[in-house]
Amino acid sequence: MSIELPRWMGGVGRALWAAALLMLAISLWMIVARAPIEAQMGIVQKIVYVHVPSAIMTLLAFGLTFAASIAYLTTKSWVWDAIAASACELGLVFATVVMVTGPLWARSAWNTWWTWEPRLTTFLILWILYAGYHVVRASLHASARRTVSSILGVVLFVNLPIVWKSVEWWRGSLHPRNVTMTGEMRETLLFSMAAWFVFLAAAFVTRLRVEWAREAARERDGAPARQAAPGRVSA
Amino acid sequence: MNYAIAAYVATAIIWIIYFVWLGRRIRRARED
Repeated sequence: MSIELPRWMGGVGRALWAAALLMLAISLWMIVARAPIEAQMGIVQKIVYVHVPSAIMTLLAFGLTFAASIAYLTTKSWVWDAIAASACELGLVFATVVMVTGPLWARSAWNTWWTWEPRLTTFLILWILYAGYHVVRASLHASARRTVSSILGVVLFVNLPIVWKSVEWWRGSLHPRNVTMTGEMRETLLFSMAAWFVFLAAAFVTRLRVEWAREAARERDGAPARQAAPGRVSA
Repeated sequence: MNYAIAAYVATAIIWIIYFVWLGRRIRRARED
């Protein structure tokens, strides 16, 4: 397979970024000016419009990691490994946003920054395990990196349904089971989700460029198992 | 500071830090 950066990637990337930035700007306007202030929690409830979409994008990105990891183990094509690693990295950033915005919401809703209730605990475990994916990946040589990462990408996926169902499987969950909104609140949430989805797609295409450039460099050097230089992070 | 504003500012900071880091990696990968 050619390791030249596909021509379409530049154009698609730019179009996605333009759409993502425009949609996020509109989303922010809807959050500030259109969505009403919730009666009980007040303005703090508006955290939901970034917290929930970020959580959904986390699950989507890790789901893509899972699918691409299976594809890599089946085909051994480096492109699938590149897709898995890129999606996993973006999923971790989205998960970090969830981990930061959640406690800010919890401080108002539950009068505490953190509590060891099922959803929060399982999500923290998810964050730690997927952070571990990158630590393991960075510590391995290229030859083993792809296979081990793909196995991790498949195994770690087990956590996703646990996080999703945690509010149903364990008693004493404080976390809302689902978000039920109507009218302008619902429209704002749905639009925010769409905006963050396009943002995820744009960031994914940009992140893929790193993998393409690295693969091209490996091909030029003719050293597929090249080790990262000291002090450099190798994904 | 209002927690809602803090949440949105924190989100922006996280993504800005990520993209600065990503940009540096893209440049470095091209140089290699």
